[in-house]
Amino acid sequence: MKNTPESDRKRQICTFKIEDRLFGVDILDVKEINRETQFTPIFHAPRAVKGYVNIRGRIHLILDLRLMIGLDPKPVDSNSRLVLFKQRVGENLGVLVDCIGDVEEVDERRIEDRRREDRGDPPETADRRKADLGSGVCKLDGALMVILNPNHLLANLDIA
Amino acid sequence: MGLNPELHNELLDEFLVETGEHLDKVESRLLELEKSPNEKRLELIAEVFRSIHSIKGASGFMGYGKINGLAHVMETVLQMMRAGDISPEYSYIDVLLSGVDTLKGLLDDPESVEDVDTSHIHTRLADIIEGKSSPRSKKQMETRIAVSNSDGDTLHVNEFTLNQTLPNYDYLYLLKYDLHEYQSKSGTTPVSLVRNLLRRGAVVETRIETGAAGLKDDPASVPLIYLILYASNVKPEDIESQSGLKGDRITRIEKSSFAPVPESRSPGDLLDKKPSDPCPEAGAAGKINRDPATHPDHSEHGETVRVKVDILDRLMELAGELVLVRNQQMTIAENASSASRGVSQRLDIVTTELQETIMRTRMQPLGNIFAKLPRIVRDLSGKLNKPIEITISGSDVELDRTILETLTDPLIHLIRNCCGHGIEEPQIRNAAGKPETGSVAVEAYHEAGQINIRIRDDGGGIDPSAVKQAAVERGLKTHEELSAMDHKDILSLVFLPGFSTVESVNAVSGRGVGMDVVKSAMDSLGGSVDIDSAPGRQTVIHLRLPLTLAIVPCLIVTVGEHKYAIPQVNLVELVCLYDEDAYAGIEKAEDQEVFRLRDRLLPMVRLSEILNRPRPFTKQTKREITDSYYKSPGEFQDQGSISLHFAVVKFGLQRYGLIVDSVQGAEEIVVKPMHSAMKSLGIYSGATVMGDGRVAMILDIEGVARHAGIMFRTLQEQQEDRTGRRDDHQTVLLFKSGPQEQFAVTLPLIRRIERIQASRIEKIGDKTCITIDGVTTLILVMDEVMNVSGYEPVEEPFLLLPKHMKRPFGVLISAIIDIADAPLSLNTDSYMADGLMGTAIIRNKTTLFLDVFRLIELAEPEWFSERRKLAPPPDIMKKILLVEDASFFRRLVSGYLESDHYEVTTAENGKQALDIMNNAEFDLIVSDLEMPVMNGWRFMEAARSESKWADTPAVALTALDSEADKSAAVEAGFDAYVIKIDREELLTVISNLLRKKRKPANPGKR
Repeated sequence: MKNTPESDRKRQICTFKIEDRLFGVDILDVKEINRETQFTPIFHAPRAVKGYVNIRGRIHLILDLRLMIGLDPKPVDSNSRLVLFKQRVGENLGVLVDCIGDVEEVDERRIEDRRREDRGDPPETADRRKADLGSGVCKLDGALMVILNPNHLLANLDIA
Repeated sequence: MGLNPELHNELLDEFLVETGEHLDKVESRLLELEKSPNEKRLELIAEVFRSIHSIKGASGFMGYGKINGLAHVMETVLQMMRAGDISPEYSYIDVLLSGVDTLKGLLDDPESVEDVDTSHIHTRLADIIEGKSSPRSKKQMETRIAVSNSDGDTLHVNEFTLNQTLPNYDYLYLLKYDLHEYQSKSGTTPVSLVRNLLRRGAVVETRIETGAAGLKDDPASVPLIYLILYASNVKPEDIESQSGLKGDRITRIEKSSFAPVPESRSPGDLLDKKPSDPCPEAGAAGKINRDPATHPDHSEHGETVRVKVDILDRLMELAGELVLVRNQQMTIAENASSASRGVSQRLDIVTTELQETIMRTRMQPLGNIFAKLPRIVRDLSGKLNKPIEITISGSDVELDRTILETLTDPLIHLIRNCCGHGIEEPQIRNAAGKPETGSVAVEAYHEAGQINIRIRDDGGGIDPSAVKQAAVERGLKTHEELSAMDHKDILSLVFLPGFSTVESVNAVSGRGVGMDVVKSAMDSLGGSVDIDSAPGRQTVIHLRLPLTLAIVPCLIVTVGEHKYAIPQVNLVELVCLYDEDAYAGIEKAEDQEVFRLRDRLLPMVRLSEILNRPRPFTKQTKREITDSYYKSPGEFQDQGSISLHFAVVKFGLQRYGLIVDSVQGAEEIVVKPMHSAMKSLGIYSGATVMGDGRVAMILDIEGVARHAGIMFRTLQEQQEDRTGRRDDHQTVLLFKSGPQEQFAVTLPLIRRIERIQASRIEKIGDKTCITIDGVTTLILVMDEVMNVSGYEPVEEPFLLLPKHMKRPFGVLISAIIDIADAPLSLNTDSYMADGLMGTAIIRNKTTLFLDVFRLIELAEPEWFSERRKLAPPPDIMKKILLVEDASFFRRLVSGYLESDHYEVTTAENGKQALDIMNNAEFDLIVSDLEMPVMNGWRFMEAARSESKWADTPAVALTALDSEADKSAAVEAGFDAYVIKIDREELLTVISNLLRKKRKPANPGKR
């Protein structure tokens, strides 16, 4: 892989669904998928904070991705999953998603950098910053998949 | 020199840690040395010597010339001690200790070691060497011996060092290492190499051969030659395996073959060029005084491993999780076969043990900080010219690392305090018949799941009256408050911020920080501190600490379906109100809900409201909440049975009530910090995983109060509040004697309540007595003096001992009901008997309020007839003006005066009194001193300035009991001074004053 030109590089994306919309994060950022849904709410925290959850003795902070992208919350059901991120993304951090999908291999060239489109836009608005969550879009089996950058999750917390 | 930077840093770390440990040991051994008997001294000197020697070797290797040089001269002084040239007396130990300090200072900042000026201590050490060496030793020290191998590598060593080392070992080798090669081959560091060698012998001298100037310079990979002159008992045939070197790198040096190097220092005189054959007789001769304690310290290092704290923390987490898995397994196993139950049980045991063991990894012995104390005491002892000894026990008691760290400063402060303020000057001690040498004893032990540390000094103790005075002077307490405090409470005042009984802030303790620092440190650790003192004899300070901070005892409460933890440190008590109390108990004060708990008005906070309202409460929010819960009395009926739970919580001096849905019980929880993105939420201090695997939040009690916007009153206001309440309430003790009546005695009149054995009550004539504290105390039984139901005998009754009694007597109580708030105005119409102050309805029961003084007068009229004979009330009705701000005392005192048939007029303060005095005549004035608006002193000055009142007798009635207060009162114009509330004394004084009248010789004081 190392000597293939950048245009040929593939990225593995862990996909999941929210309200039938397809999202994904780079699999290199993901530590694990977990079905634990016993949340302890953190009152006073921003709305998008789902709560604390105990994953093998370590307390994780879980954000509700629906709220992070501006949707209304929805009760947890048997399809709900936690996507837990690696330590470098944020300490003991994860998001709650409606339903987990497959791991897709995506050609780097097919990912359009969302941020590029915004270049030259007027000064940052709250909307604009929220957009930073999505780092790119790509077409997948006729559907659009938004690739999220989990590194920006916490920074977007207060405006979600 | 050829080490790469990474390796260098690794080595540096190791060097710093190890050298630090050595220095600590050197310090403690030096201190021990001073006190040890001669036969132990050699051993100690040898130990110190070895440590300093290791430092010297390691620092030389690391390229720290300054450290190396200093260690070298210290080593020389130690050698002289070992050789008996100098004895380990105070001044030499002192210099060596300074050397240790300097070394410690150098190690603190290894990068700039070479810039530090160490010449001062160098000179001091060198002076000792110069002045005290025996000529022979001196000569030996100046005599340098060269040792070489066949490659021509040469080491210089002075004869003195050699002579000191050699007799202990059989063989001497010159080892030649290439450190690069050694490291890559064996994978061990040079430090561990030296350590290995030291286990079996002594490193006499080392040298690194390199082209570069120092270790810090270049990381080139030229061979790095390390020469070691090694004295050992390892036989020549074993030395290869022991040193890890090939035979050609080892040179055996014949011990007998040394010759001094001429002053020219030419390496010409090579001693023994070729590897020699084993030579048994040489070895035997050298075995004179082998120190048995040569090895163990080094092997100790091999048994410890340094582990990062976060790895331990992770282990703790996993152990916790294992406990959860175990719990699940246990539930499953209950219905399973006996074989699987057996396995579960073993899993249970192993898990518990695992958790405990992991906990222990965080523990460190108290000895780590105790070791610093002897030095501190020694230095202070010298500085203050007070001989002081310290004894320490319990150094092996272990505490959590974090607690240990926080404990260090307070402990040192306490020890300094003992030496500075506690132990007296030797002259004073002599005069007091104590040994001239003061002693400080520090003792640590386990008790009741806590670590206890007791610090006792046999010094002057703490004078409670000095404490009281200081407290008043600094405005920390009023005289009234002080009068209600017992001995221990008063001593505890020294822990208040801004308190210090010694005026001069000196270098020894003082330093602007007081005991409050100790107190706050203990609080932050969830511990406590107690002080007790016998003036003139000793002071004992008792610290109690939890074993660990990682596990905190908490109260688990619920709101909705969620659990919350309140740290036990913040918890005062739990209160549960039922039915009507649940509604009516909580009152409204402005916008805040409050609850009257005994004598305190508690602000109430509803946790559910706190959680549901993310924004800090405003006045508006508080009003909304208060209104939504507030019910008018009529609404209670249809609500059915209901209960209300709240925890009384505290932080610092503040308390409030936290209303929760239910209380689950106490649990020990492992505290996890809040997620960094959630740190700004003030109401939580952390989170924890509960036994069921769910996460629970730990409440920050102070943060909750802040969020709730509770306006805590300042101390001043609280005091005013208290005196204000005194106006319509008094706190009384409710008790029973017979089966029917409920009695009450107001608390300020009670000295104490003693539990006694009914079997120990004696009859003497027609009187009932018991011996308490060696004093025969008269017992008053209610039904003998009043028409009430007969006393109901119990096995362990109580005896109520009133204050201000000239003769010991107590009221017999069969059962204590409670302490309650009672109205001040008593009903005196419906039922009245001699010995009663009146009645009131408390808890739906008519309660008889006792006039204790009158009771005793009824029981023992002769006690009083004497007084009445000596100081009878005047025949004509006299008028007395009573000035007193606290309505309780106003009532009480006027009652006393009226019982002696005086006509009493009352005023609440000096100003009011002056107004009254404008239009009235009085024969005598009784006045309190501490009053609002106009105090007693100013009132009396004002009164005396008018001719009309210049001669009227005046009595100061006060809780202040110091000579200064008395003279101030006399100065202001009072004729007499009576302590509250000594009825007999007051009446005697009044009687005497009235009969005497003011002497005309004293007309119009000012």
